[in-house]
This record gives sequence, C-alpha cells and structure tokens, in this order.
Amino acid sequence: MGKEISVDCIRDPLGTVDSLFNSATCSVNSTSQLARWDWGVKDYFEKFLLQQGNYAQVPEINSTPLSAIPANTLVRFRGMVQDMFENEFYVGCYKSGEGLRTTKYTDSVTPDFCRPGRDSVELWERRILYCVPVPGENQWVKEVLASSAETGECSVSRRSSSPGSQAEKRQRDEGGSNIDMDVDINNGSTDESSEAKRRREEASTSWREEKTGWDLNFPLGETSFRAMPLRPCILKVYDSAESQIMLNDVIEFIGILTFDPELSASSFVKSEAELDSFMESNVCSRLPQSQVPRIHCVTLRKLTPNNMVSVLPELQKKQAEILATPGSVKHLRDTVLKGLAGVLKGDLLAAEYLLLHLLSQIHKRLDTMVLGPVSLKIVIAPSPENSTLPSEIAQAVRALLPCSYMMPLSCEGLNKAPWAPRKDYEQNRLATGVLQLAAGTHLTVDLTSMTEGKLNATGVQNLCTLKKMMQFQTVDYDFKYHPVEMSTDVSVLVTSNGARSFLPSDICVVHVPSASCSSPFDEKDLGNLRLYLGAVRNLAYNQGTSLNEVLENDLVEASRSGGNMTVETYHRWLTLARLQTISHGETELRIEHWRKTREMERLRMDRIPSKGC
Amino acid sequence: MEDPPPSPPHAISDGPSSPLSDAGEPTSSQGRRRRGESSERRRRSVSRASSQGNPSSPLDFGTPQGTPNYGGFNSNLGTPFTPRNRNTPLYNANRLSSGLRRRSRQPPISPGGSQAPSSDGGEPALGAQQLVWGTNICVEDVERAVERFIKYYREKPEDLEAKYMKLLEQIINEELITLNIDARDLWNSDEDLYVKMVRYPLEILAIFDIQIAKMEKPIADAINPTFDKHIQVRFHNLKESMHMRDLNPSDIEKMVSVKGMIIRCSAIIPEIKEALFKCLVCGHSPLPVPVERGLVDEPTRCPREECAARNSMSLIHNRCRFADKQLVRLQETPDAIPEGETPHTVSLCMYDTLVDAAKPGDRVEVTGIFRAMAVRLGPAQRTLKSLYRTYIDCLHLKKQDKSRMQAEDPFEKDKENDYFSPFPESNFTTEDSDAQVEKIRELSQLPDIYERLTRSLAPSIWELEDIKKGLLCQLFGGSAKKLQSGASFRGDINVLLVGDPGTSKSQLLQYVHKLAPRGIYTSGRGSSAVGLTAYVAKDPETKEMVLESGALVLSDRGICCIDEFDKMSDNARSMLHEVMEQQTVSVAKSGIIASLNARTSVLACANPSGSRYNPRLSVIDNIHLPPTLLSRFDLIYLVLDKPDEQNDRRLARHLVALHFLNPEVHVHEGLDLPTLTAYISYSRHHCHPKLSDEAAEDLINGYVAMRRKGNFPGSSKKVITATPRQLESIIRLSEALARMRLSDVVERRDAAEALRLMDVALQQSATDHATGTIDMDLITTGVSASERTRRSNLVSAIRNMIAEKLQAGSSSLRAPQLLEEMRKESTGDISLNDIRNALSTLAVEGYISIQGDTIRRV
Repeated sequence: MGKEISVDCIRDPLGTVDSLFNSATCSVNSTSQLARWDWGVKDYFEKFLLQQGNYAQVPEINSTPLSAIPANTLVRFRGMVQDMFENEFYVGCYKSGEGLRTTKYTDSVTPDFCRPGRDSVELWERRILYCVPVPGENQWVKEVLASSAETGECSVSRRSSSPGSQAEKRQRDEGGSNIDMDVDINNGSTDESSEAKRRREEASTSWREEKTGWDLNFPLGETSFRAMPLRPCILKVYDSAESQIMLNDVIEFIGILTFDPELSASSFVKSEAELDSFMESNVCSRLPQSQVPRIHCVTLRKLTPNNMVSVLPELQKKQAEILATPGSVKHLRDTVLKGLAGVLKGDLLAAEYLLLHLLSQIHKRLDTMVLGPVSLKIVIAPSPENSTLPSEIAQAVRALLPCSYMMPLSCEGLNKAPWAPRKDYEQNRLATGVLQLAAGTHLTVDLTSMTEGKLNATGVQNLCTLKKMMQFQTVDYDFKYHPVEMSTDVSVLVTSNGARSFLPSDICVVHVPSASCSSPFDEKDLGNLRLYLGAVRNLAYNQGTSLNEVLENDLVEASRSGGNMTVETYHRWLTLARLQTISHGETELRIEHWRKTREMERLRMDRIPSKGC
Repeated sequence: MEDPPPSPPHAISDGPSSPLSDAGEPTSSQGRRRRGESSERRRRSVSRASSQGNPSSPLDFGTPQGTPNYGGFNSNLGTPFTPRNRNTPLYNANRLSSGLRRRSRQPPISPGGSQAPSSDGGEPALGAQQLVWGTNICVEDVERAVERFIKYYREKPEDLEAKYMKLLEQIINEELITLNIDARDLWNSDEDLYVKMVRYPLEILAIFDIQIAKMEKPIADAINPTFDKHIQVRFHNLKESMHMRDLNPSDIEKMVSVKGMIIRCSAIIPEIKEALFKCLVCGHSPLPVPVERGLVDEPTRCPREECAARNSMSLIHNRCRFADKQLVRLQETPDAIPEGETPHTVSLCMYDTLVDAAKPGDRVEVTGIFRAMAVRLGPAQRTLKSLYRTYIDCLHLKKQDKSRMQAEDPFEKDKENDYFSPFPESNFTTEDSDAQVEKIRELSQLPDIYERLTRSLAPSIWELEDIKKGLLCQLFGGSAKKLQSGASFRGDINVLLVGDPGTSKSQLLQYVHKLAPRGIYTSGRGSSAVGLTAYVAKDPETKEMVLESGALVLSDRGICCIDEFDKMSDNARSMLHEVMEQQTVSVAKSGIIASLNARTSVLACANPSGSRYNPRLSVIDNIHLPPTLLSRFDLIYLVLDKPDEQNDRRLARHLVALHFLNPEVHVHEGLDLPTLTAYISYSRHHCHPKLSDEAAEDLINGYVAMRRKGNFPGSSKKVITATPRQLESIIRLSEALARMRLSDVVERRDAAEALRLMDVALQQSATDHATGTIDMDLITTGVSASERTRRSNLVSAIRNMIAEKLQAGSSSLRAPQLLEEMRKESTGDISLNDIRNALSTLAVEGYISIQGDTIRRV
C-alpha cells in the first residue's frame, strides 16, 4: 500500500481526495457538516510527505519546467504572499446521481455538473492568494532546495477527467511562450480547435504588450533560474485561519496544480472581461494559466529566512550538530570573520560590525521604536581601488544570506516608480514596489555611485519611505484614501563615501584598509557558514539578571563622563552586546562580550572624524 | 420617478417562456412578492402544492443558482428575485402578477414545476394557509404582524400617533416614495418578525410592501388623492453590523449590514424594464412588454388581427422604460483591517434612488441582501463555472460621519468632511459597545485614574511625568464654547516641548502621533508655510485647480505634531499664529479665497539654539521664538538633561529591562493602548464639563496671583506676562482634567491641579540655575528673584538718598555722582546701568524727573 499511495498522492492527488471525501460523507449526517473540516486530507498528505524521500519527489514549480509537470499532480511552490484577493465562493459539493461529489481542490467543472436539474449544491469558501517567488532569494537557496526535486521527474500519467492531450497542449504553449512569444501555429496539430483558439486568445491578450515585470508584480523585477523565467502562482487555500497567513510571508505550499482549458478559454473574451473587471474584479481571469499556474493548496508551511536553509531534514540535522559542538561555532565564526575581512581588505573592526549586522533582526517592538535591527553604514574612501568594494560586499552577503538585494541609488531609480506598494483599484491588485520584501531580507544601498540629478516628487517620497523603513521598520502601503502600515524586518547596509548622509544608520564604520590581507571566502566552507548564520539567528537570547548591576553602572559612568549620551546609544550598546553573544553561539550575556562591545564602540568612534555622523 | 403606465390587469405574457422551460432552474425567490387581490393568493397555494420536487431548497444550501440581471449580461439560469422589482414602482405588480398568473393558469394537475423548490418546512395546506416558499412561515400571520407593527408602534408610550403612520402621512404629503423603517424598532416591538425579516428578507419585504400599499390607500384618499406612487420600504440600522470578512456562504439571501468605505463607482447603467415594440407593417404598438431576467419577449406576431404579420416587430428604444443601476465597490474601513492583511472588498448593486448616493471616499453603512450568483463560462455557453460571484443588493445607504460612540456634537459644522473620526472608529456591535462603555465608566470611578492614565501613556519612555500629564490634557482637550455674540473659544490645548537633544522628545511626539491617528507629523525643517496650510493643485481628472489641504487642515480635530519647531522658517511660523488662536486657515491664492477649518491642537518640539540650553539666558533668548507665538502655547515644558546619578541609574535600569524583560511587565495597572484610545474617544464625545463656582473662584485667584508676579519694577521689555490667554489655558486644563474623570463638573481639585501643571510647566522653564532655586520670574520677567530683590533694594536706597540730598525744586544731581554716593554706602557691586534702571523706576513713580543725566526732585 505504501508504494501505491505514494504514486497516488503525487500523480493523482484528487483521487486521494475523492476517497477521503467519500469516507467522510458516510460518516456525517448532513452535507452542511462537510464544509467544516477537511476530511483528514491535510493530515494524510502531511504524513505522506514525512515519509522518506517523498518530499523530494514532489516537483517544485520554479525548478522544473512547467511543461514537464502534468496537470492535477502534487507540486510544491515556495513564494512570498504578495497580494490577497477576495474570497471565492465555489460549489463545494453537489449531488450527482446517487452520491455526492466534491469540487474542492479543483477549478474545473465536470461535465455532469452542467446538466440542469442538479440538486443540493453547497457553497463553500476559499481564499485566493497571489504569490511571487521570494524576492531577492539567492541562487544557492534555489539550488539547495531544488536539486532534490529534480529526482522526482514525473511520468506522464494523467488524470482521466481532463482531456488527454492537455499536457501536450500546455507543452506546446510553453514552447510558444519561451520562444519569443510568437504564435507558433505549426506545432498545434491534434485538437486543433481548442488549441488554436487558445493561441489566438493568448496572442490577443493585451498583457503581453505590457511590461511583464509589472503585471506579474515581482518586487525586484523578473529573474530566472536554470534558464527558466520564475513564475508567480495563484494559490487557492482552503480551511486555513485567516490570521495564519499574512502579507509578505514566505510560505511553502504543497498542493495540486490545476490547468483547465475550458477556464482559460473563457476568461479572455473581451466583453465579459470588461464587465468582469469592475464587477467581479477577478484578477485571476486576466492572468493566463500558462504564465501563472493555479495551485490548490493542501498543506502549507511558513518559512522564515532563518529556517529557509534548513527546510530539508538533513540540513536541519547538520545545523543541530554545529550548535551542539562549541568548538565548531567558534571555528565557523572565525572563518566568517576572516572571509569578511578579506572582502573588506583586512579591516577587522569593520568585519566584526558587518558580522553583527548580518545577524540582526527585530527583537521587539515598543510603542515608538524598534529594538533589534542594527543598520550599518560603511564609509569607504573614494578611490579607484575601492570602487568595486560595495559590489564585493554585496556579493559576500549574497553568498551568506538567503535573501539579499543590492540597490545602487540613482536618480532614475528613485524617480521612476514609487517604492512602496500601492493599491491599484482599476485592476484591483496591489501594485508592488521595491520595498515589498519578506522579513529577513537584506538590503544593500550603495551611495557611492550617486551622480548629480534632480529628484521629483516620487523620488522624494521614495527616500522618505526608505528612511522610515530604516528607522521604524514599517512601510506605508498607499491605498489611495488612507495608508496602511505594514511592518517589515529588513536590515539595511549602506555603503557611502562620506560619513554624513541622509539615510539614518545606527552605526557608522569608517573603512580603513589594513596591510594584512586575508583571503576571501572559500567555496567549501560556505555551506557550513550559511547553516551557522541561520542557526545562531534563531538562538533564544535570554539575559540573566546577574549582569544588571554591571550594566547599569557602566551606563551611569558613561553618561557622567560626558559626551552626548543618548537613549539611543544605550539601546545600541545593549543590542550589540546581544548580537555579540549570539554570534558566539551562547545565550547568556557574559561580561567579556560586554567589554568587547564597549571596546569596539570606542574604536569605532575614534575612527569617525570629529565632524562625524 | 414617474409612474409607469398601469398594466392591464390580465395581460398575460404567456409566450415564449413557458413554465416548462423554467423547470430546470430552481428559483428560490421568484414570485414571492405579491400584490393584488387575495384571490391570487389562493391560486398560488394551489399551484404550490403541485410543485414538483425540483432542486434545492435554497435555505438549506444557501444559494439559488440564479442570476440577477446584469446590464447586458444575459443569463438564463433561473431567476432569483431581481432586486429591481422592489425598487421600481408598480412594476412589481406587473411582474409579480404576471408570474403569479402564469402559475395560476396551470391546473393543479400539470406539474409545470416551475418555481417551487422542494419545501423543507412542511407542505402547505391547500387553500387554508399560505406559506412562504420553503419555510413554515405562515403568510397571513406575518401580514397581521406587519400591520400591527406599522399601525401601532410607538417609540415612547406617551406618543399620540403611531410612528410609522405619522411618517406615512408625511410621505404622502410630500410625495416621497421611501419609507425608512428602523430595524431596531422592529426588534423592540416584535422580535419574531425581526428574525424572520433577517432570514427571509425578500418575502418579508414583499409582505411589507403590500401592507403599506393597503394602508396608504385610505390615508392617501384622505389627504392627497392624486398620490399614486408606490411606497418602498427600506430597512436600516440593523441590530448588528457585520464585518466584511465574516460574510460567508451561510449569509446568502439574508439581510446584512456592513460598514465600509466606497472606493469605486461605475457609471449609471440603464436597465431595460419594459420594451415597446412597433409593428413595421401596420404600425400598431402592442402594450409594453415586461422584461424578465434580461430576456425580452419579442412578440413574433403582431397582435392586431388585421395584420397578424410575423416577425415584424421592431423595438423602439426611446420609448422603453429603463431603470438606473449602479455598481459600487465597498472596501473595509482602515481600522477593521487585521494586521498584515489587505482589505477586503465587496460589490454593491444600487438601484434607482440609491444611484449616486455616495461617492468614492465616503464612509457608509450599507444594509442589503447578500447574494451569490453563478457565472457562466462564456456568454454563449450554458455550462457554469464552479465559482459564484457574490454581491450585496443594497437596500439602504447611510453615510457615516460619526463614530458609534459619538454623541451629537453641536459644533459639528461640516458633516461631509470627516474621513476619519478623531480617534479610531470601532466596528462594534451594540452589545460590545455597551460593554465597553460600562468598562470605561467603571474605570473613571477609580480614585487614581489620573495616575493610571499617566502611567499608560508611553510606558517605554522614562519618567517625564509632568510632561505626560500635560500631553494627557492635550489629548483630552477642553471644551469649545460658542457665545451668542459669535465669538468662540477654542478647546484645544497646545503644548511646546523645549529641551536638550537626546531626551526622548521626538519619541513622545511619535507616540502621541500614533495615539491620535488623525494627526500629521511633520518636521519643521521640511515644511513650508504653504504645505502646512493649503495649497493649490491641479486635479488630474477634471484638470481644474483645486485646493488641497495641507498638514494643519488635514489634522482637523486631531493633533498636529511638529518637530524641529525652531528650524521652521518664519514664514511658516506666522501661519501658525492664526491656526493656533482662530482655528481657521485663510487661503487667498490663485483665485481661490477660502477659510478652512483647522481645529487642531499643536504639539511642537524645539531645540534650543546652540546645542544645549543655556541656563543663564531666559527662555526667549534660548529658543528664538517670538513671545507672541510662545504665549499661544498653553504649556511650555523644558526638558533638560541634568547629569544626575540617581536619575541615570534609574534610566539605565529601565533600559536594561526593556531589552530583556517582557514589555508587558511595565504597564502594570495601566491601561493598554486600545483601552486608552477608547477611553479618550468616549470621554471626548460624551463629557462636557462645566466650571463649578468654587473652582472658578480658585482659578481666578490663581490667575490674579500670576499676574501680580509679572508686574514688577525693573522688568525688561521682552517678557511673557500672564495674559487672559493664560487664564483661558488654565480653564482648558481644568476642563480636560475633569474630563479625565468623566465628571460633568469641574471641581476644586481639578482647578488646583491645573494651576499646578501650569506652574510646573513654567517652573521648568524658569529654574534659576544661579541660585538653584525655582524662580518663576525667570520666564515671566526675564529677571530672577534675587536680581529683583537686589533691584528693589537699590531703588529704596536711592530713594532714601535722594530724600536726604535733594529737596523739591532745588538743584539737581547727576547720575555719576549718585553712583559714587551709592558705592560709598553699600557694599554690593553697583553699575551705572543699575542706577539708571532704578532711576527710571523712580521716574515712573513720579518721584523724580530725569533729563539726560540730571536728576531733579519733583
């Protein structure tokens, strides 16, 4: 039964659903009860996935070509929730003949549904999400999580209800879209009518002429992986509490891929589309299925950048090992420092700060401020050998963190489009912006390449948004009549030429290259380093009360000795001390770490020219 | 709305849509409206009994598979009740009666299934009782209940006339067509009927309509015989209002009420109701054909016997009857959006009088019937998608400009202005809001409510108790008064925070800005005068110049937080003069001359010139703000950073705790943020304290004492003396304090506390660092007390000396001489300047006269 189930679950999940549904109908008295629970579908699939090797066999949307995945099979998709559409009411189950049938987890309409005189139709609700591939996700994450899926190449068994040539149709369509978007009529031979019809429709749809980047709403632009353009997905989620999924969450969905030629054919009829666009505002009908697959989600799991790396069980084990052996943590820490110092041309102090910055995330939100994120500014002396330094730093970050993005600041970039997402009421979608990023993404803003120019209103607005994000970790989404504040958790690294700049960074380190140069990162170490970083970020920091005395005394001492001690400085020291502790893999603050932090701060302040930031 | 032509009572459109073709589509709600004679009722019951078991009873499974008519969108999928029927006068009659008659035509034998779904609630007895489809609601009982309600319902027992009979008369007099029934009244009088109405709105509304029509006839005959409009019944103000997110499939076909904000309105769509045809051959026009479900039954043969031509009818579109329809999208109110989600929307269908009743951006409460309809895959296909579209059939629209907890505000001048209420609106049900109000009242009775409120304000900011108290007063605000003469006194309190950098001033500002969302946070440096008040912009849609509100106008009825106040340009600052006192902004530019309301409180934060506050100079010299502007601030706080070990230790402890402990530990016994905002909102709108006599006495005494201090000899020119403005400030403060306790009377302790707050605020800015004592004079006069005593001593010494040395009318004395003499006599260090000041004081007294350097005794 084991092998059979596994094939069934991946290749024919709807069959599993049906059988579970049938057993459920026997056990309930009235059909209305069927709406309230999922008949054990979710548990069943989860159990199945936990079994050895099954998870790896499920194909992933953005690492295997869409054409290779037949319809109505189980797939995986990892993405960030970019937009939430209205809840859909759909026909949940209906009586057909003798028994009840369900259309949960499908989009399509089975033929016997259309017959007039059907009875007892029940309406259920489901939630529609629009997810894009995680913006800024680095290549290595994709590799790690995708490589296991490749082994699960699906063969061509299809579900009987949809026409058999469906996969071929889609394949041809796939080929058409990959080749320069031309209507490739030569390919379509069998089932000419619907195929050609679809091609005609797709050629005539206007969205192709638009900038696809915007229409598909990728915050950071389109990217590709293994020569395939990354696709967003429309997710239909059942039976989940509304509060479980929030905007900008990174979630891994496992569900059933559906593709229904009947639906796609109808959705491009223009007249209906016009009326639809207002009354129904069904965005789904404007996104063709070949570009944006629809997945009916069976189970989902939230990911954070900290545990994205260790999604796979073997990686999880490795991570636990690293944490368990104290020597390994120290060793890895030193390796990271050496590597970073190599990138930074031997500046150890800056490397320390960079490491602490990479480990920072939001610890707590108070009423008016945020504790935890440490935004760093590295001041680079403007000289020819330093001109590539910002990009090298960004590259190092890219190799270490799961999600990062480098953004050189320029007038065109600022003036072009608003960075904060805004709601487009015409299309009833959330038009994305650069700053719609998942929690834990790292942003490098490069000011060294700025040139002279004039900012218009959009540019000024974007700068204000960026500043607000750095200070308060919130971004205002523009809903035309009112702004909606969304909280973010993005660490920002600024590289600039001067100590003073208009972006408010917490810590400003002047880069001083030293004579002794160490080498940059070694490829084979990177795997462990990534696990190390992910692991220590997750450590539950718990400050014992033993050190309170010392801390207080220090703070009092410092304020008495003059200088402008502000509340922010105190907070910064405490945060840095915390980061220092977890970077050593420990959970309790020790006096050495505190002293080290103070020392680092002193050195850093010394470096800053007197006029400083 | 003009009357449609009365339809002939027996015109039966039996034509194309034969009953049998309807067999496939269960229509749950068709034909429930009944007008007309009771005989029809009996016929209906007959046909109902013969209904064939057809698809679903809608009640069990929620949805009929029916579509209403969407302009142009043909659907043949069985009809639910198209809402237009209700709104079109007299049209219902046609449709209904035609529907009825069609059914009644069928002999009981023929199944003609048509419109009877299998009824769940029991078979109707033939001829005796009529039941509503699919339920066991007896129609006659409901009719009687409705009649009882309308005829006899009185709001208060001592009313003479029934409320709705009075309304009916009024409507008939004024020739209106809508009767708005408050659903609460229905609930109060007949709960059962209310429940039925919410669950089966269409049927009950039909019954209401019929009853009203019956009842209006005698009244109309009596008052206004020409009245022949059909009065529509609209319900509003349902007992509970739902969140848009909670609309789920079980609410279909029920009456719901949702609140939201309108974001889009479509253009007006005309929907054809009656089609007029004309025969091309003979020119004969048969009677208008009612349009059902989007299908127009074109007669295939000309009805005139002489002609009888086939397929010769053509539609004359400008003699057809249309009704207005509009599609509107409603979005959740901003504060109902849960954290981390995008707002939900729902579509509305508005008909006839509701069209254009609201425009995008309005906050409304909508009462209507929630419906779902299936969609076809394509206009030419019969197959259905498994999706259903949902929308709300709008019955009644109410624009909201007040929050639920708001009482009538007599000074609320512009009702259409408010997008936001001053503090967050809550989507409560009545029970919830009652419970909340109870809780708030309980809280207000606590003896230490004042301290609690202070503790709960910005708990993460350390100390600064008195400043927090001042901010609390600002949040609560005094009461605005308007005299008969037209002068009005503002109720808003303005606060200025001055101090050294790094003392959490900006954090306080941020916190207050968060607490009072209808406020703007600007930085002085970045604001221009124009941006603060109002500016002229080009409207992208109409391409005209329109006035856009600036920061101060946008924070009308809120708090405007201005940071870096001293860095503001003088231009901008001069704007503030008017706003702070008159509470209006006058604009005269680009041909637009207007005076906008800006009833805001200003919370400003300034840094002293030079990086630290120089205690040796007076307040005015430290911050370069003109004293006129300073006097408009009710409270001026000085936040100094004094190195003090105890303080620092406590601060350090607080910070360390913030980082590592759970933040909730802090606010022990304090209110959390939502309660705080609810408390403030409630008290602002429900509590308008008045001064009691003793409190007034105390205030007057305090004010006089303050004045006396300012009136001192030797004071320099630039002083802040206590002006009547200060008295008003104290009054406002005491009112705010009384409001905190939800008391209607300002008591003595409030007055005392207000005086104390005023003192503290001034004291902080008036600490005399030289002597280490608190000297209020430093801010009011610019001169410290020690200095003052010195001067007064000098004056008396000089007076004595002049009394000795000079006689009236005799020779004069020269000032340097006097200086010598004084130096000899007294020990202190006297300068010529001091002598001159003292002499001028004496001259004012009239004791001497001075010319240049010579002193002459008078």
